Amino acid sequence: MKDVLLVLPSLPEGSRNGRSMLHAETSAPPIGLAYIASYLTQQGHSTAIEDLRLYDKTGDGVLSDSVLESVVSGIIEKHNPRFVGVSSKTQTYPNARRILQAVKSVSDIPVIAGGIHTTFLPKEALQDGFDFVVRREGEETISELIQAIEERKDYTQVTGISFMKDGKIINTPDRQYVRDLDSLPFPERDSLDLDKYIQRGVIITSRGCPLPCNFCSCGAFSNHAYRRRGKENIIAEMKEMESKYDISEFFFHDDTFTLQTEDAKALCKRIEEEFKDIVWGCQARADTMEPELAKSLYDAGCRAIQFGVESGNQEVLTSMRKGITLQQVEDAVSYVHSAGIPNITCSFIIGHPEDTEDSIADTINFARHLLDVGATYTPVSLLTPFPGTSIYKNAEAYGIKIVEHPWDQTYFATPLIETKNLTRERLKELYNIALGAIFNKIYEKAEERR
Amino acid sequence: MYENKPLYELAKEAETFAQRYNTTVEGIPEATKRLEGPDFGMFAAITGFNKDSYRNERK
Repeated sequence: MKDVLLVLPSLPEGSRNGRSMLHAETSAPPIGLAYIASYLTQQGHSTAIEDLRLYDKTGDGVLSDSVLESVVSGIIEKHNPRFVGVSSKTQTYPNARRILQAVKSVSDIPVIAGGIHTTFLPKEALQDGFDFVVRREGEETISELIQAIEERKDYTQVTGISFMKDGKIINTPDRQYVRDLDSLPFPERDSLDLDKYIQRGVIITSRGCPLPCNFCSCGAFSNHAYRRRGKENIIAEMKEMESKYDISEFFFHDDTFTLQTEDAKALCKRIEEEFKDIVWGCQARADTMEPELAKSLYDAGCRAIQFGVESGNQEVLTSMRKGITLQQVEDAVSYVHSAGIPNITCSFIIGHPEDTEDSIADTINFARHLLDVGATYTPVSLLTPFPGTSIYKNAEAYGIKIVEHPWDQTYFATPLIETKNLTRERLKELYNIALGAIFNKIYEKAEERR
Repeated sequence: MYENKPLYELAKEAETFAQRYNTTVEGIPEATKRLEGPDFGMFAAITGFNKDSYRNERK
């Protein structure tokens, strides 16, 4: 019997045939749940993690409704938990709801919702039948909530949760963020079947994002509170990953690994001193990149880097509050390419409120241009109104109409909106053209290298 | 300055890509899902087919 079973839902049907490396969703272990598990273990609770994506033997991470129900029955019987926590993103929320229904059909144990989607829409989750919602970062909140339930205390004293009382929705005040990330135990990787993932070596060195990009919910999720772990704490976790799990390929899943240039250089120096045969990848901001940092990254083992560029039109880029310039992007790609980093991704979004046919052509042309500068991969997505984003909250003010919003299709490739300049149908056509024109150039550049 | 193609020319590029993968322009999103290898993917140099070459380069 386990005290707490933590569940990650399977992916929706539209994710089938997504086994390629484009499909990051199935390639990384649920490190957030591993953090929750390790904190609960430290507090004296026994835990288990079930990643339902792994029950799909095709590797797509997709389960039919009937299989999902059967899998949930099986894991409830196997672990016999006293509490179930289900973490979901917008795209997987419908499956989180199916998991809730499957648990409730065989047991009356409390089911707690967590993750980014229900953080912003707790009312929906409670009306769907979840007993509680843990909002934002969950380690301390779920621990206190479980204690309150067990000791029959007043839930209103637990900050950062939502629940129903006498038919009314109660949202307790937001919890203060964990200021000292080094105080958290390392994620409980023993609870993960690491060999099932392409990205076995996921690690997080910071939390939160201070930036105000209008299409992204990362800043809102963290209330823009950016915190970094200490370098020695990071090195210690990497050492544990290397020695205990034989990991030599690391994936830094920070929102922005290079947000603070000097700090990033200092961490790279420590990694270079401590590890001689590792390689790793990270996400970075173009405006923080400089030749010296690019060299530090390479010397420490960085072989893959991703920049969120978002648009190839400066006016559109400025309107989305990204805070970077096209020149900075070009320079950043040039720096990391010159430093020797072989895998440089620059990602783009089309369908911004200010986008026009001309600005989207600018984006396609700039993405193709970056492939000449040194980028190796420049994918494009459709603007998606995720809950928590300024775009979602202020759609009307942006001149955006959300035509439909099926949660399970809320994932970058489905046209859900129309803007003041572009219909939904035209956006879909432009998305197809953008993908094709950009990938055609990626194909040609790859041929040149061969 | 760099090559700045008008949208109709970019559409022709998309058609060329679609033909490479035996699909239509409408089928491109599905086709890109199936691409694998060192040239298509955010972390491909680490997870891709030729990842060992990048590791050896560092030794």
